[in-house]
Amino acid sequence: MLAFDRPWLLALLLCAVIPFVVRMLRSSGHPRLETTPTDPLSLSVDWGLKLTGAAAIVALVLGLAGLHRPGGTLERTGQGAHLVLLIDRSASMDNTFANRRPDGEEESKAAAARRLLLDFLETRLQDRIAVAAFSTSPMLFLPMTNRREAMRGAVSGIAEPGLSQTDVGRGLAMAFSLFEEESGTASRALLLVSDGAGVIAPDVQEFLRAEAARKASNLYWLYLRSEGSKGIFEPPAPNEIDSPQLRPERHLHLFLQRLGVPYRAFEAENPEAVAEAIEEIGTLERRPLIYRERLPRRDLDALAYGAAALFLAVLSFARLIERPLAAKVPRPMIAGPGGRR
Amino acid sequence: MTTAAEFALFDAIAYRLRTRATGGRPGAHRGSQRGAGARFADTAPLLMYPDPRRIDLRRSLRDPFGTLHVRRFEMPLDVTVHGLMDFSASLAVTGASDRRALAALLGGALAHGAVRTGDRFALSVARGEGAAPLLRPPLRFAGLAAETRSLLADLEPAGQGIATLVELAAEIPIRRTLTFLVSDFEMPPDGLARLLTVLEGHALWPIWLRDSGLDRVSGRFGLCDVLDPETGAARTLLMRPSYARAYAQARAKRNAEIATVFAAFGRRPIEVVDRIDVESFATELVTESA
Repeated sequence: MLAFDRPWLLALLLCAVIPFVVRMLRSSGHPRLETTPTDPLSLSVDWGLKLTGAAAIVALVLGLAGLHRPGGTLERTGQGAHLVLLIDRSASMDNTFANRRPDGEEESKAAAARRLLLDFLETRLQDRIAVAAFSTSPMLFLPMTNRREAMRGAVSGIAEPGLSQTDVGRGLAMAFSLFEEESGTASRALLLVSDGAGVIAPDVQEFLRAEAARKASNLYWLYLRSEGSKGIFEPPAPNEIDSPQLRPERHLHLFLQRLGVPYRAFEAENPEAVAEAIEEIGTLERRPLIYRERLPRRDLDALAYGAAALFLAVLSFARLIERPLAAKVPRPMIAGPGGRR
Repeated sequence: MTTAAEFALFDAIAYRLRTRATGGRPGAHRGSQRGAGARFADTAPLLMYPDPRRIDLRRSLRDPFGTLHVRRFEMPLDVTVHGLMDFSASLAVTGASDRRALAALLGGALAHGAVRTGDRFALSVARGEGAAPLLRPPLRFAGLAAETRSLLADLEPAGQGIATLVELAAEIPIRRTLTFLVSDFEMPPDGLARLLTVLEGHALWPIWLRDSGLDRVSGRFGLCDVLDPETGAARTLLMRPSYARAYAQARAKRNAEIATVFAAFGRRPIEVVDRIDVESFATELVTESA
């Protein structure tokens, strides 16, 4: 449980016998020690001082050797899921649901998503969450973690001004790769937040199918539908050409349905709908979760030095109150004539 | 350097012996031998003691058979003064006095007294086991006192126990000697009894060097680390008034035990507490014969 930075210095622990061999106080002589009365209190003080000296040396050596508790991983159980948030960072996300530049009254889709996801994080205290984003290319924001501050920081970052394109295929590929190989009994969920989609290349499609089968993750798509764009559930009009190039959202929906993993899509036209969708996802993804917590290394040398200082203070006090047995008074060896006997 | 007070001590040393010795050389002590002395002893028939210069007319006239008597006188004899010193390590412990220097001073004083009286002075200094003793044959010369003192002052008290002391005591001849046993008597009572048994029948003056600073200690609160230089045992004492009282009682008890052993052997030691009071020291020496 405890470890040392410089274990070879522990050889100095042998010095702990010194207080039992060397007298710590200045000795004054006594012609016949057997004639002094035995005193249990003095005896205990004597042994107490020796033990204190030994303890001070031990504490100093432990401090010098760099006593610490090594970090490690600790298995914990909780309620929740391994969650990957995949967020669209294309430029259109900076517009409002009405597809306008955000003014004072209406917030942008990205800002709404950030606000609602931050609230969502507050309710999911035991989830392990990874955050990735995609636009022209996927961006890793945060690997799978349970550090709340990191999650909040990563989610806060999604409202920064976006980039142009929407490469959802590679984004999904990255999102799948963020799941850890071992998640125990925890459920996995991938939450895709986007306001549009793009064509996924056939080889990426192939890769995604394999990855989805391997990772066995639940898949949620929160589609932020802008005013005027077509919904993902809407079948095409009879005279309309139904191609991925013209209706990428609908075809992404179809592709995700075919992936072979549990999948649900939510279509939200305003922030309230987004909140409802997120709440529903939250209730769905609540299962016992075994996760490993990484414990940081804890240095204990300060503790050791503190203890040594305490022991040394006791010894210093003993030195402070030490006194010779008999006060030495220089007197002439011969009493003068008529001197006192 | 010898001070005036020390000169006074040196000159005050005088001693008498209870026993009448025989043989030896003319000296200052009474002997049982008849010869050229000043002290009248008895009368003897002229034929037995043919010294016609000392014919005692009154005694001769009173003799009904008309035998001539002569007066006989005691011939004064010398003795050998032995300084038997206990220089075990405990002597180096100082409290209110430096007993080691006191022992050296006493050695010088006794040597001076012996030289002045016309006796020879021999020195046997016993140190504890493991340390060589210092032995000097009976000597008499003018500078003996100063030499003895410096010799003793330079000798480091060392070693443990009284085995060497008992051995050296057994070496001292019993006839025509006077032994001064100088020690702090920091020894178990049965050890002292063994020593006194060996010295039984000797003309002996025990001189007990005592240190009042070690018999009574102040009760000021504090930690005293005490070390017995003989045994090497060390102990930390938490000094406080109650313990100082118990300590003084224990030391007084121990001193009483030593005094009891002396009394059992019919000896009374001259106690030198912290320093030598010349007057009383000399008085004790001369009023009682060893």
